[in-house]
Amino acid sequence: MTIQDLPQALWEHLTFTVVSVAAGFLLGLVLGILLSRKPALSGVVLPVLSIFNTIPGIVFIGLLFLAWGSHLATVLVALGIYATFPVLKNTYAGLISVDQQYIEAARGCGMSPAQCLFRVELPLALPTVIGGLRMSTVYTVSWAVLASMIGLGGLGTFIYAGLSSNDNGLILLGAIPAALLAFVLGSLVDLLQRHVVPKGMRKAGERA
Amino acid sequence: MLRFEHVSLSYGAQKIIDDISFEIQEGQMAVLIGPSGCGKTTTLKMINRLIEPSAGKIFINGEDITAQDKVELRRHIGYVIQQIGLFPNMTVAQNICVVPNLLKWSKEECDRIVHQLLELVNMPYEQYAHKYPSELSGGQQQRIGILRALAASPPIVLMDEPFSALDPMTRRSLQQEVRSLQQKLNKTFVFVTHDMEEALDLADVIIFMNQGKIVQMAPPEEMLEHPASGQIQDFLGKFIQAASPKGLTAADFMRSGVYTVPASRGINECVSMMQRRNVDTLIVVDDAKRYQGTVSIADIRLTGHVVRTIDPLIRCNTPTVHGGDNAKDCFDLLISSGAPYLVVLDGEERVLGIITKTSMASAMAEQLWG
Repeated sequence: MTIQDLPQALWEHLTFTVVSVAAGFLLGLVLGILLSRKPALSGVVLPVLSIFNTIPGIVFIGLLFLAWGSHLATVLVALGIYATFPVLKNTYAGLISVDQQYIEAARGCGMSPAQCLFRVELPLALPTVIGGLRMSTVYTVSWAVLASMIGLGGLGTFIYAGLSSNDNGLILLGAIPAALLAFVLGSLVDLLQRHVVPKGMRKAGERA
Repeated sequence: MLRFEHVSLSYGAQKIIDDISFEIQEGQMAVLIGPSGCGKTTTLKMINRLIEPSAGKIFINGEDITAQDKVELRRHIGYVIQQIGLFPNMTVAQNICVVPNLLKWSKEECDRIVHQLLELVNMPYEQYAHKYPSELSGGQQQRIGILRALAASPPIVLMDEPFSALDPMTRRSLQQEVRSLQQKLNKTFVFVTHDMEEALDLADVIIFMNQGKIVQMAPPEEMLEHPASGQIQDFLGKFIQAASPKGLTAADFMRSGVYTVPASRGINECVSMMQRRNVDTLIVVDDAKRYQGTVSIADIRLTGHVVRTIDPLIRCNTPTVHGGDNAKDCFDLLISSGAPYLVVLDGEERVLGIITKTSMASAMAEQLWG
């Protein structure tokens, strides 16, 4: 484990994060939308999800490793599922909190339920949804450290190697790029936020 | 145009709407009014099927609305709500064109509509079209809300207490704008309010509801004159008093015992009469005491030295009314003509008296305070 291995590890870490966050985002968005169409269900679904969410990532990834073995899919699925939660919760919360006046106006104008969702509800919920994306991105960067636990590389390799050989330099070589990666990806999401949030709502978004 | 036939709505045992039937003519402004929970908003929302009746039928131009697709139906009915509900993620222009967009009208057509409608409410296109709702005042927002409802030129526009969240000044000017828009565009409006003044100002016909039933459906004047229940009377409150002088005539408001002069009188005699009475005009009558016109001190000063009698100086520019004419019309005439007084005549064109602003005010005070 030397500094020459860093670019490779960083690349792996980035791949784990981006792929699982992308998958988790899509899944969370779709599930959040579905849940918001049936708010009665959320009383059951959300508590179950938050219990599941409290299972430490290290336990879940370990269990999945026992079941599936050391595959790329094991890491991606585990991280993807964890990345789903914040997006799902925020999508649901964002959609539920869209002011009733806009929905009534949209229906009264003759929008179908789908048009109402895509033209009015989702744009209005977008700041909250992207907030969820930001959370899941930053979390996933740190959870991706666990990939090395089942021998799949990433920045965690340095940290585990450093821990086992009592080499603080190695730990920092993994930890600092991971922290920087979280910061950079978080900033990218902020940039995205600024671009996709409808102009008329930016002031409101900034205040929130 | 719009017809309700035995429409009812119940949630369980509770009757929200109890067998109502009415018809609104094309081009009319119908105002639904009543105490909270009387079913007025529910009735309105049944028209665009945001709420479905549990019994009865609603027809628009003879067509049963339940036979049409809900979403399609709503695109042809304008809808304005109290909370305004402009989409904050869209510009003014995009908000106005929501329905034309849903109907897949061309971009040029939409653009033309935005120009035309903004002009209608005196909001310059360049200044407002690309603003977002959060950049507008409440009154401006609701103007756009109304334009959004009008954009696809629906034959019917529904308004659910559209002005109750606005300050009184803004409300007043928007009421006037709605009234003139409705007359200009000749659309059928159904308007819900709890404000009787608004109803009296705007309505061609008022539908008063209570506990899910229609208590009275009548034009404003008729409702003022013959309120069907004590509750309506309470709602009308101060307006009934203001309305009772409707029976008053010009004769009630005039000052009688005014001096008249025959046309054959000499100039000097008239001048001294004016000085004595401290007036600047005299009412001139013929031998049979019939009204001829008036003569003014200004005319006498100007040309009095070339004539001997007042006959050639008589002017007929003072408005005249008859003793039985409606007092309100006389008042309007007095104000709009700018004349200092009106001459009141009887059936034989003889002078009964004059109406001045002072005589009007004292007669009104008498009506008001007895």
